[in-house]
Amino acid sequence: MKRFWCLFFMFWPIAAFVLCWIAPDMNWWYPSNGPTGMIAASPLGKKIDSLFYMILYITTATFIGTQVALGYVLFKGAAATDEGNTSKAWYSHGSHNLEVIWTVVPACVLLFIALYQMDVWAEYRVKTSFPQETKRGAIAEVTARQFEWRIRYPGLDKDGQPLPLMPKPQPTDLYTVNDLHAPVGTPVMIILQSGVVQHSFFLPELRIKQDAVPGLDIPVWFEADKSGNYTLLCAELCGWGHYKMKARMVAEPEDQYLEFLRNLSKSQNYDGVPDAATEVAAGE
Amino acid sequence: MSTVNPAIETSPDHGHADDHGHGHEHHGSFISTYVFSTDHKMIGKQFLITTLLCLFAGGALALGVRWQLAFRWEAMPFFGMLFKAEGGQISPEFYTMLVTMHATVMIFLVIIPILAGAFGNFLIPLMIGADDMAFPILNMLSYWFMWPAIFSFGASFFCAGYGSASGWTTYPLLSALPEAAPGSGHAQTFWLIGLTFIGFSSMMGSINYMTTIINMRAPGMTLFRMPLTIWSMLITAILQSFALPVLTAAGFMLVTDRMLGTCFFIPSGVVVNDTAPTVGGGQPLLWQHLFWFYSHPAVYIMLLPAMGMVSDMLACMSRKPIFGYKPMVYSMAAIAGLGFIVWGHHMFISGMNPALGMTFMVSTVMIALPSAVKVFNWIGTMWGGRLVFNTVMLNCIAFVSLFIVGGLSGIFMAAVPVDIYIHDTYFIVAHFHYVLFGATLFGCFGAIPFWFPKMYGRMMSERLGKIHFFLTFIGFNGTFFPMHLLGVSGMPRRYADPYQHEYLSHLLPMNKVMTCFAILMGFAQLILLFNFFYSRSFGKPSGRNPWNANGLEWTAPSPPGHGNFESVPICYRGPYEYSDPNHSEDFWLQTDRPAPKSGDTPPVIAGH
Amino acid sequence: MRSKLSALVLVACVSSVCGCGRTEPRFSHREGLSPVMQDYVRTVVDQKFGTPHQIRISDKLPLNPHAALATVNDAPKFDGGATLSIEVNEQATEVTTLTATDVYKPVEAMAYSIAGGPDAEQFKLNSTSGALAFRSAQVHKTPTDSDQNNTYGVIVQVSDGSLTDSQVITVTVLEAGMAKKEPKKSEESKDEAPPTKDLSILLTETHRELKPGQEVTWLSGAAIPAGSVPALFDSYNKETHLLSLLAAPAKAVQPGDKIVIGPGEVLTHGRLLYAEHCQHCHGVAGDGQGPTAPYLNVRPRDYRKGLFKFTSTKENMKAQRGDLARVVEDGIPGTYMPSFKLLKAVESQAIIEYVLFLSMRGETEFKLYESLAGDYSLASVETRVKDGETEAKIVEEFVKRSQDGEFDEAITATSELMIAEWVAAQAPDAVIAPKEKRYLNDADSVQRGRELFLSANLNCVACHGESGLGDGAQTYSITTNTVTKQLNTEPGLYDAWGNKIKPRNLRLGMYRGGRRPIDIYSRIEAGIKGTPMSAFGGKMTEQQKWDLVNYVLQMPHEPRAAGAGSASPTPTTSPAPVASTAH
Repeated sequence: MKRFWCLFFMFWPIAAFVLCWIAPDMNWWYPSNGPTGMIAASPLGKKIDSLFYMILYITTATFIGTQVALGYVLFKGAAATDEGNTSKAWYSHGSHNLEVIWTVVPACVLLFIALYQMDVWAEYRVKTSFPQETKRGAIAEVTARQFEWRIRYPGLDKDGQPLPLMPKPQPTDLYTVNDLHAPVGTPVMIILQSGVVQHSFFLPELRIKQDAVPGLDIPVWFEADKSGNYTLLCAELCGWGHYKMKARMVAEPEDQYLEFLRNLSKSQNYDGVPDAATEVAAGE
Repeated sequence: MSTVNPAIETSPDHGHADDHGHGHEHHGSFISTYVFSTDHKMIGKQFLITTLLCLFAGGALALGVRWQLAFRWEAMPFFGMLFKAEGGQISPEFYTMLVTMHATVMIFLVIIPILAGAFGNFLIPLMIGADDMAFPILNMLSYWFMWPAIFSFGASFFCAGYGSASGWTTYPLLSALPEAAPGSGHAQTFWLIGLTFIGFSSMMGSINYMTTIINMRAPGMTLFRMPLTIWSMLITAILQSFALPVLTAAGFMLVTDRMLGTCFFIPSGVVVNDTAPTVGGGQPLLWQHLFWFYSHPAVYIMLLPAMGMVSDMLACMSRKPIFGYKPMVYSMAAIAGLGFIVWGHHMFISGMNPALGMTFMVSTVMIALPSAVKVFNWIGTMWGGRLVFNTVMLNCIAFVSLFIVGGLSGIFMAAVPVDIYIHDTYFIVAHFHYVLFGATLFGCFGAIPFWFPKMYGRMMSERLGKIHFFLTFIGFNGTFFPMHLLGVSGMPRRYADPYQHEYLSHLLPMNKVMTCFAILMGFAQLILLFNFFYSRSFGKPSGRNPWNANGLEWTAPSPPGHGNFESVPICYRGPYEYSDPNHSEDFWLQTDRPAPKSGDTPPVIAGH
Repeated sequence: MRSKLSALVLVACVSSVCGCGRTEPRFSHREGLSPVMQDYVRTVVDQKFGTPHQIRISDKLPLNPHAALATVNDAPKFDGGATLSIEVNEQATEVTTLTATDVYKPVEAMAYSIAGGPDAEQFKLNSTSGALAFRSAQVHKTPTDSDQNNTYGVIVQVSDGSLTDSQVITVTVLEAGMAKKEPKKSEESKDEAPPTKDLSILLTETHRELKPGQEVTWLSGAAIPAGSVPALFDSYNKETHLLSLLAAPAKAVQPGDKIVIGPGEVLTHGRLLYAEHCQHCHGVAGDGQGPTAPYLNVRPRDYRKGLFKFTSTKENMKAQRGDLARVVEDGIPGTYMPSFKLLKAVESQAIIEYVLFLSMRGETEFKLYESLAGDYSLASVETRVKDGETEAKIVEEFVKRSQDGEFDEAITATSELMIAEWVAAQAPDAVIAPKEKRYLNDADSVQRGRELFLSANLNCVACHGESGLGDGAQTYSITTNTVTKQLNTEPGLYDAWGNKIKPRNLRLGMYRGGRRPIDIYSRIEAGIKGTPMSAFGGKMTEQQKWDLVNYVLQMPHEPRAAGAGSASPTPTTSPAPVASTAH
């Protein structure tokens, strides 16, 4: 029976390892619905993924190492109580050298892991390290509320070009709900707000997540590699409808993005008279 | 294993907790013996049984969660009836309540009290050779303050919205504004009251443990002769007494925000549920800082005692001294010390200053180091031992094996950029279940049969114990390991219906399988409960030292009478002197007087 | 606590053993009627509409839950029966003009052709007009027919696109001067054809794709007796209009039978989606009393009044599908109705159809209750008992009256009226259409709008307040209930569902019914249905309406001094008189 238990304790790490090994093929891995499949859809996301894989390799090695060591001592310990084996257990209070080794080596590895992450974090969150393109200002203000994303775009000027996004709502502003559009292939910044409770702006395909905190205006930047629809959802418990905050982020070429804003402007100023050839600009 | 040191053989008093005997006759009434008892052993048992029952409540709530994740919006006949969910559905606010109350019950009513309350109370005086706690009445109060907490948490089930539903982390404003969520009305207030009572209970325990451990050790029991269990209890008590006031204060602040309109956490200009509540001026992030300043150390409060107990059990069942006793102690101390400066890793994406993210990342990653050292030492302890594969040992090996996963997955969460993606996904759910269930609860499942003979003078059933272990282990891994994959798939936690999102819809079959494992695991706990109560009355009599262990508690009668020891035990050595080649037995009780250096008269043990 | 805990444990055990059984929906029993009468109301409504889980299909529903509605076609029939004898003068080419009757197809749809006959080559036939003529004029002396007896035989056929009729025509060429006899008609024979799998149909409405396996239900006729296994759709040929069933129906299909293909599929789909997305707030029966509802400050809509607040339709008209679609897509800002933008088109369509179904079902139930309440509400019964009747007698009387069908007429009339209202609301002309384009949103227009807002004529300030903060005098006055037309007992404003409501704070920049100018225009023009916001369209000119719209849209952006409270901002320019700017 004791060897059964040894095998039992060896079985599950193998099962776990196999499960992780087949997971990408079984589609139990990174979200694959987006335009880029399982690969992160943003440069930052790719960096995050590579860091993830780095940690995964280190931890997998550690996992296998420790589980093998565990298995070894279990089998050895089981054999020690076999019939006829009457010798006492190894009387040892430890080894100073071993302690030093298994303190210093993991310490170095861990410190390496920690320091290696800094740049990506700075790029994502520290405003001075934001990409140059985001310095032009935010393209939209995303306000999370129970239970939807309300998005405010700046209005268009006379030439059909977007105005700068002002901190306060303007009469010219354009609004959508659960539908964030952004130009593809360039870093864009949004201002994240929350209406009432905490939410979290989560773009799984782009590996972007940022809490929306009431009272704070948080700049978030992201860059989509490929045109298409991406998932946008909430990742912080915000009440009973937490799961209902289903939205999309549409990355599209600049001209289509402008076209979208123009159409939005047109539909938002629709006055019920179908022949809307002349646009009445709101609030002049 | 049944050979008992003849020197301390005694006639076992089977299962009579009220039999005091051995010159310490103390006849109390039923009330003072079983209910308002000041005896640390009785209080420990009270804690143990209470927490085991709460474990079932928490488990039932978890099954409700799993039900919804596997059979979303399907009628759940009995839950539906109980909670008036229309059409028998689990409604979304009920789901958030299930999530919240599952965490609440498991953390505050099971894990923390079973470690500090049940085992801390029962073991500390016995293991250090004291006759009771330093403050017996305070000790009794610490148990009885748990009941108002249970009633408060329970009462919140019966409020509008059936229970607090803002997560166990109760982030404002969801928790601060009654209008923000169905469960944020009186249910949330009751929840906070319950939390405060639990805080009082823990605080009284902590003061007691610290005082007892520092002042009441038996002669010869130096600090470095203390079992690791006691070290872990001491460190836990210190952690708790320093961190808890912050949470209690924060809880009061939240209560005043709710009741008196103080707005510590409520910013200006919020409109919720068509109601503009207050003037504002607060900051929701403040709560997170205060809450995690306690609750991160609390994670170690929920783990360290289990680590200590597992160390003791592993050494005993390997018949070997602990490998690296002092590094074990130092690493526990390091965990405790670092534990105070890592709370920010819960808030990486909360919008706090990103520079804090970097510092917290370094401290968080480094806290993995002492944990790693401990794992290596546990493996070292088993290395070259004569392992006894009984229920106790199996659970301890499971502890080590699963803690490795819990520790390693923590590194992912600690790395800030990776955390951006996996924060608040099922990855974290997997991580903390591997630590809290995989490590702590398996540790407890080992500790219960290990010290059960000392509690009731009887052994628990090995066969049932092994079946329970087998099923629980399988169910546990089947339920929680796939959660890592769900996390990598980006499935956010606390979603009543994740499959509405296209990129998650293919995960439904996997969740169904997980739910089946969870149900298996849930039912396996009935075996434990049965085994516990059956063995309490009908188990095999155990004698004083059924495991041939070294600790002081094994020199006392089983169960120990009032005052624990017949005479003051004298401690001659550390607790892990197993298989000493210079000793005839493979264990050497701490109280065994060492052979005189010269002379050939065998030692006579006083008092027998 | 322990009993609670053990209950929870029990729950966990039993529910995991029992599996996932569906429980019956909980219907909100209308208070105020005794159980017998409640049962009666429920039976009537269930008969008419089914329950939310078992939907009854009828072509009377203006919603189109089914894939298609069709009428079984009849074959065209030649006037004159199967054979016809005609005499024509020699030298004449025209023989006759064929006519055929067809109940379900117009005469123009008939296509005539020559199907055969010994002398088919001699004839030509105009396929649309049915004019039959000789190719060349015939002379009696020189017969060209096959048997040379001056009697020309031809078989003609008429088709309505799928079904045909044929007629054997015998033409006798007469010598000049001989009198023509009247065409001789044959006796019409009528024999019933056995039921077949294929039937010709006229699709009257197609709503969605026809798929094999869909149910085909007879709304009239005896082909499928009620309660028997429904016929199943197999295929449909668009060219020939032939519908094939998987199996022949029990009895012969009569022309004119109305059939429904794919009954309730959309509603079934809608029900599932409704259960997933809507039910926990709006309730199983659409009563707005789901488990989440009590915690929502703006209560979820109770569909059973047939009222929807934010519509594009005219005053007193019901909502259009498009209005519901807008709400589903964009949510209602400022309430807990979230946006369901990412639902697929078929999904939101299905939800809307199901909501309409619930609404009509509920409204019927509601109206029925109201009509019975006069005599049989608990209060009236109590009064009658006081007046000397016994309760048993009253129930007996009620049962008798209902068995005698005394209420049937009222029930039919009520539901017909309601359905007519829904149908009317779906028409394009039900939508509010401004006669003029929006006026330029300049300072003058805003100023004029402001004047209108403050004017005694419109009296917007009574509810919305002088500053538009939604704090007008009505919010703390005893108001008249919009439904009962009686004074409310508590101060404030109430909607048709009895909830206390607040007039909109117009300075938040949050517009529940949408922020497009046309949305605001519609609110002003037709009011908000079911609320004290009434229609003001009749009191204003087009320009005034647009001025007011401009003002409302401008209000959130007006700078207001800190601490100004609800004091109205002073106009900066002297207002131009309203009359002078009106057209």
